[in-house]
Amino acid sequence: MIFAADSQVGGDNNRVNIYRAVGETRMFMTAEGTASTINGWTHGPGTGKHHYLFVFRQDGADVDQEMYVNGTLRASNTTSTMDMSDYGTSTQKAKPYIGARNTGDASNTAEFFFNGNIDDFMIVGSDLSASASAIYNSGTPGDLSSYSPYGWWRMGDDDGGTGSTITDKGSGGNNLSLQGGAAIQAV
Amino acid sequence: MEWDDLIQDHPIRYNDKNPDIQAVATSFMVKYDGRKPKPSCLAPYTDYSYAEAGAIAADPTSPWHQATPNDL
Repeated sequence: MIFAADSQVGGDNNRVNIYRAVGETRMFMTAEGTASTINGWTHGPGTGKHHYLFVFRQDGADVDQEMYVNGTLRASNTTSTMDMSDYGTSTQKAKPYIGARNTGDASNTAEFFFNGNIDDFMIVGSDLSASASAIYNSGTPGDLSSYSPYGWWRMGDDDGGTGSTITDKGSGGNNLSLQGGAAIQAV
Repeated sequence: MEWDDLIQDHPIRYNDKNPDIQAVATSFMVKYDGRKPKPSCLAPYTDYSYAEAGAIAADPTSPWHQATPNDL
């Protein structure tokens, strides 16, 4: 699991999952019982660093999903009949994870740890599809503050490359705590 | 950081609290280390669908060969 924001207990069924399955990177969304998955960009493990940009936006009665890999659109779904307003209605206090997913209960236990490295993770409340190539920046994302991120975790670059806390450079101020043996690593 | 922090109480929420927000984007870099993720039968919420987990269990080259989907 690369990223998981789940609420799955007590009838709440709103989630965003980004994960790897059988050689593909996928994004799964569900909101109030309506689910949509985009599959795409198959590549073998250990083939270097890749940049991903996932976008989901309201388009009339649909939520469009797009997946950009290294600045290029690789997969999309424009037929999911869900509404962005369905997100945020959850009453479940499940913690989002980067590099794992929540078991979905109040214990907030992490599971399905990601095998590899994750860097420069950013969450923005706007449509960045036009900026996919600029953010990718030939494989070296630069200063992303101009996109006004809510969350932007540079995974060690702002913490001296050590420690167990990842400082949030976004406006949300949600510093991350490393868990499950995760460590800062230069790649 | 909790779900409510991420969705309900900040600008990416699209609803009456933040009516102008109609899109969310997530950007990151990844590098896989070569290990296969452990599959799961909890389709489709985890890394593998039930059918995919069954296929992996049946694959003699899989480290989870001969496992039943419920074991994965």
